Amino acid sequence: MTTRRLVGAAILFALTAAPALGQVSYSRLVNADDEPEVWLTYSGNYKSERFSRLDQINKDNVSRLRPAWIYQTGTVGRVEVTPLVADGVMYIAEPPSTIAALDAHTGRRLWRYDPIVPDETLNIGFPRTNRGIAILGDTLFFGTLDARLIALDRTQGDVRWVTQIADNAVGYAVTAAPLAVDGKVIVGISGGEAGVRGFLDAYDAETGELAWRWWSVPAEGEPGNDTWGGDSWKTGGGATWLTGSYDPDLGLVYWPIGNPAPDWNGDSRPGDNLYTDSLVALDVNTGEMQWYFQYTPHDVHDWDANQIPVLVDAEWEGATRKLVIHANRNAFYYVLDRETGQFLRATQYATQTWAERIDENGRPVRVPNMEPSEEGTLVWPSLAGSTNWYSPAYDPDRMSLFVPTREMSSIYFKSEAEYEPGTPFLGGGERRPDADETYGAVRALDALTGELKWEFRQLTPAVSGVLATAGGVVVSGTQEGNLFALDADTGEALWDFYVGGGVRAAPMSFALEGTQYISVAAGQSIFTFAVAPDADAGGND
Amino acid sequence: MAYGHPVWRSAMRRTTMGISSPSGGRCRSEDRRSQPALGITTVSASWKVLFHSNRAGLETGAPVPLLQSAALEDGQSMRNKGPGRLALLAALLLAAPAAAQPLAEASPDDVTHGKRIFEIHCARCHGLDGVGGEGPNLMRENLRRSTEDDALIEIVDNGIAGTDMPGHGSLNTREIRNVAAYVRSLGVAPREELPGDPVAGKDLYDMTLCSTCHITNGEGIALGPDLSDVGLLRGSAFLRESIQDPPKVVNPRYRTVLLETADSRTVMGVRTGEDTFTVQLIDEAGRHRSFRKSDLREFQLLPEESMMMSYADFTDAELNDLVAYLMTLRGPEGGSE
Repeated sequence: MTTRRLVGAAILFALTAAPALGQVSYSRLVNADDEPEVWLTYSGNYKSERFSRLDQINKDNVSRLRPAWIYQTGTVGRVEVTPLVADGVMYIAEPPSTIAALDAHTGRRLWRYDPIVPDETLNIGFPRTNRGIAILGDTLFFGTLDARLIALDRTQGDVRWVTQIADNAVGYAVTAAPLAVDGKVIVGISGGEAGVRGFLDAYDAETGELAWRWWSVPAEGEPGNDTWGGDSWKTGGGATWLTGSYDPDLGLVYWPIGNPAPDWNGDSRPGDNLYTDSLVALDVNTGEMQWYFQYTPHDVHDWDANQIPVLVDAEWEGATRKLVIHANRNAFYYVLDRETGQFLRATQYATQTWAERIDENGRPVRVPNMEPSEEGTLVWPSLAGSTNWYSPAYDPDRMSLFVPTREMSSIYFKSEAEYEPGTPFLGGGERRPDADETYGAVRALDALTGELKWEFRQLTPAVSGVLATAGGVVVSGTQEGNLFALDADTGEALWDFYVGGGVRAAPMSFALEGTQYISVAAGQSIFTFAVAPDADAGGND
Repeated sequence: MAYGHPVWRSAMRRTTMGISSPSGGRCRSEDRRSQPALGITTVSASWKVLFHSNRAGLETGAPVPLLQSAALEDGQSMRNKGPGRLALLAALLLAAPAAAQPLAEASPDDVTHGKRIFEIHCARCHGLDGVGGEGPNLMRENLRRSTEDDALIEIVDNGIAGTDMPGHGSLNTREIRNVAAYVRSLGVAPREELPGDPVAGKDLYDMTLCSTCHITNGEGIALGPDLSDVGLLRGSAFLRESIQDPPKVVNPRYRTVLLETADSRTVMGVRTGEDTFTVQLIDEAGRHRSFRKSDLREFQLLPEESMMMSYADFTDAELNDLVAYLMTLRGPEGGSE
């Protein structure tokens, strides 16, 4: 080879390979389970299992889990992100809507992009934070508090495009991680407490142009509009503020929908208020709704359905069936057929006083007089629900769903609700009763029956997501500042570490050069752990 | 009413968990005071304060704020309102004609409306007509934390961080304003004539060794509440009941921990912090201790009634004297009412 050709090859390499990282193709996302050393979507895979197929960290060595590095955001809000890891780089979101790329080996920052969210940006009903990022190709996608969707080159953090998806002046915002699918980025909005009308959007990943929009509250003339009174649908809430799941074979996106507005005063919105507090299945190409299932019709307790729907294929009454399972804020665990939306089972998994039972169609049979009142009405669960957006984890080997659980009641108050754009549209509130012996737990539910296998009790109601791993350990945290690992079979605590800040995010796992790591956001930092060598084993561990 | 107990108890209990210590609350009060006036409205300033408190990391140990959460996606985040919301609320309040009007000039209808809300939400602690009880008497010349209307509205709205005063959790702007107008209308109750002799009460306080658990004016041990300004913060009837029948009224933040270590030592003390895996306490010798629960043979929080001894055997005269003494305790400056 001549010198000239060598130089030419070097230049070619420099131009093509050096600055760019590998492509995260759609097929990598579909086959995420084959690549457990990376973490490419908010919930770990399209099924939203939040289950790491890495098994280096196991029941025997998890007690030696030690910090590998800690990244301090230096920001003031809550860090609630689930990091992504691809090709040795970790991507995180910092409050309110800043993206940073970290060296996953050391936690050292590579770059940071701040979209500059104006101070006057509204956040009615949620913190000024960002819970996650999507990745597709060599692009990162994230939403901002002021309701922009932004695409960044993931090597340098340069902006590819920006799309304003809604108007923050009336309360719309984005805190949830988008979901990247084949050529599209699906993103939900926050703002139900401001009385926005909810929707779910899909954007062209290349251009940022709107591909489709699905409204979570049907307009006049559309099916379901008759479940609202008068013009109440226009301010009906139904925010889409948590990332959904996706079945590439069926071509369906599964998205949970938030509560109706105003929250605690349902007088102005007689009817079931579709599609609030529902799970919907949308055609990924068109956004057309294929089916819906409403967990809590005409909700007056703020029990959004924004919990992670987990896709499970399992034997059901003799045949393999495609299921979607969901531990709802209203204290019931649900199993649905995800092809048809057919209701298969509901099981109570936490204390509740509002429903006598769930009937054969999946509809609650309500206990009378549990609505909020001017004097206050004591109801279990509290308005934060029996669980909330904090991710559960599904262990496909054990067929267990590990649910962050809250045992707590509220006294619900009702008051007048007047809609003014860009202000809280609530109609009441809650107080906690004195006699309320609250606590939290990670509960392991049998995925098919919803029956309790074990619980690990926490001092205070859960606010942390859960990670399950092939090593048989389940990782979660507390709002008191503990991070802990449990035996997936028994719930026994195997390890804990005080991170000094509430764990209000969900852990994830990845591997680099043969070492498995677990990362979690807590307080204002990202903590990353690995197993320390066993001193007694002479370094042969 | 569907409930019979004050809200602040559960709130305070949670505040004690985790990192908060008896001084934690005080920090927050100071944060609050150190906030510069924002020059917009006090409501706006209060949001700022809340944000600031959050920032201080107190959420770690205080899962449930003193304020009750208002509406939220996740049901717990309203405290985290940022400046955007501040500015907007400020603008709204400034724009509303009512905002400029002094509370003292509120219409009789508004005051009556405020009275009704007060009776539902406030009277449990402040007493019917605001005469005080578990919470301070509001029928005073000056409410020390709210000489200005805006400050009063802020307190009704958001409570007072670091104290037992919660935010309302469910009132709209007009209701908040009307409650504040009602409080302004309360006027001044004549100084309560107490039957006891405060000098004899002071002797009884010393003889009964109250200072082994309480501080007054810098003296004593802080196992229980500091009583230095208890005469301002509590009504006499409440104090009487606290002494005679503590379980009915004593703040559950003061919980006794009884534990047995792996080597069979028994330790008793007052809990100062707790999380899922550890507990911190001040033992009988006044030392700070910390334990891992998994290292203990036994760990229990004693029932609430065991914290403060009952003094039901005081004679009426003794009780009168002691209450009379306690009601003279009005803070370092003698009570800037």
